[in-house]
Amino acid sequence: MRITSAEITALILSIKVALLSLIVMFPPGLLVGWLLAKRDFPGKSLLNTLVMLPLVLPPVVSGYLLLILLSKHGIIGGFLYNVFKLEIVFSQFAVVLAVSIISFPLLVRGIITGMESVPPELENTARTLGASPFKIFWTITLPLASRGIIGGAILGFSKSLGEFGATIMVAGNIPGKTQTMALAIFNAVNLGEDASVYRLVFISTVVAFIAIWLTERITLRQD
Amino acid sequence: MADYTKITLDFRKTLGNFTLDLNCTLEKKVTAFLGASGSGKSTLLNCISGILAPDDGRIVFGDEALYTSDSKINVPPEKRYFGYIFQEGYLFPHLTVAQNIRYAQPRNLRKNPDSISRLLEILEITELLQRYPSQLSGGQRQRIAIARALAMEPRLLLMDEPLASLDSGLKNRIIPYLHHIKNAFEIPILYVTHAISEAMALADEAFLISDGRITASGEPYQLLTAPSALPIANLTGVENILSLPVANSDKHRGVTELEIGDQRLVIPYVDTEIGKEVPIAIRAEDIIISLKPNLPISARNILKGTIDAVDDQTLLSINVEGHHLSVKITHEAREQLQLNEGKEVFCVIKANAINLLWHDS
Repeated sequence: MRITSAEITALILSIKVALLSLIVMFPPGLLVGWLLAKRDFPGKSLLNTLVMLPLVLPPVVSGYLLLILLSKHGIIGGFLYNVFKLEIVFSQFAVVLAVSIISFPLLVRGIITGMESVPPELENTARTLGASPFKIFWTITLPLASRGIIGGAILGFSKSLGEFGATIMVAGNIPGKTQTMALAIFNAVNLGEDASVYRLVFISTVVAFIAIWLTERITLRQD
Repeated sequence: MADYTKITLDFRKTLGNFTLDLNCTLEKKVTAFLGASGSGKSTLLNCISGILAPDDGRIVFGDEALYTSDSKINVPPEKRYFGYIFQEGYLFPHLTVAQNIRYAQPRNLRKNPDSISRLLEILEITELLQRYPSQLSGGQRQRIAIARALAMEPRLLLMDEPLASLDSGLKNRIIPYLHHIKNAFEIPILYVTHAISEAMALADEAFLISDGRITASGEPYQLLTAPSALPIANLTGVENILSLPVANSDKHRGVTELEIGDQRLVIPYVDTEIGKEVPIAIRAEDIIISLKPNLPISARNILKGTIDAVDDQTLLSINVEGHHLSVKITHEAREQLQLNEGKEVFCVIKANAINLLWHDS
């Protein structure tokens, strides 16, 4: 089994995009997860719905909506093009954006699960001991929620790694630039390159196995 | 006795269909709130600590308003510096004992640099500092929760049934620690419990609380021996509370005799002087009624008395030398022995069924 350089490029791009997406989405994920798990505010269920929507919508639909927003004629894309001469659609940045939107709900779900498992009584106790809400977040909530958070991060990362529908809508399928593993498999199947398909499917499966195994190890570990 | 910061509680808080409605002033060193579970005791402490905001009213500590609905003041818990000790302890499971204790933000950073080590000594936890909460026994955990709350150098200590999750043996080992705390730290303590013995052991003043309202208040012993306290005594499981002078005490025989009029009540040995009053508790179901005095049985106490009231068919009130003992019997026994008002009977009580509530040695 000899892996071609194009296949390696696709694998590296997938990993790079998934990592970038995780790094970019982690801080807002923590904030949104904390808000949804620990706070009550008007519009909470609306925020929850918005965040979870991409989990239920077909990725192609999410991708299409993103495309409308980001194209030169869209609200955001138009602004960026007119002011900064930036074109987002069909760039690597578009890939990161597409996988981020799709994987964000999984990341946030994990963070919510983790934070909901932290008894509010412990946080209240910390307050009576003179700790500010900020200190409590860093010293009580975050460490005690870490398993759920790490689980959500791994699941989100894995989702990003294999994202297809939204990516192809916003970023196209440009080898070496926006062609991730999933897109490369799609391409290879279309072209009838069976050997390449088998190799890519094998690599994807191994990555998925590792991700699930890691998640289980971290989230189900007893102490 | 020194003056303690006056605490004014005048507020209402509704949770679901339960309303806590208080209006009282606390001025003693240790104040106990006594009530059954669901009477609003925890809601009370949550409001004082700032975890819950009342619906209206005011909470004033000394001359500092912590909560007033009029001027919309609500000092957050982290600015109140009230140590709060919960029934469950709530130690931080991911931190060691030392880290738990250090988590408290001392109110005065430079005052009393050696206060922590004194605290560790009083509570005997120096050996446990490197352990995690999961490696501790229930009693150790509760002592560390107490140390953590005190490490903050609080202005007031709130205790929510700190002994309720411990078995009775452990309780009796922790109560002396609480006594040490009471004597070693010059801060007011607010103690919430459903256990009469704890209130008797520690409090200078007690409030009975039922359905979110204060129903009686006063010095704990007076309060609990008052006839009006019977329903509360029922709730808390001990119906008979007496304070009797010591007639004599024999260490070798392991017994102490108390005077109840001309008769004697034998209890397990107490190290105390003759003539001193000791408070005791006897459950109504631990007393057996006999029609004859000279029985070949092991129970040490056979007290002569007269039935002066029969409540709801199975609860007798018996007048023994002016003291009223509540006795629980079955309906059948009452009919067979014809236990009616005015009848002379004998109360049979095992020495070991008599619990000493507390004595200062």
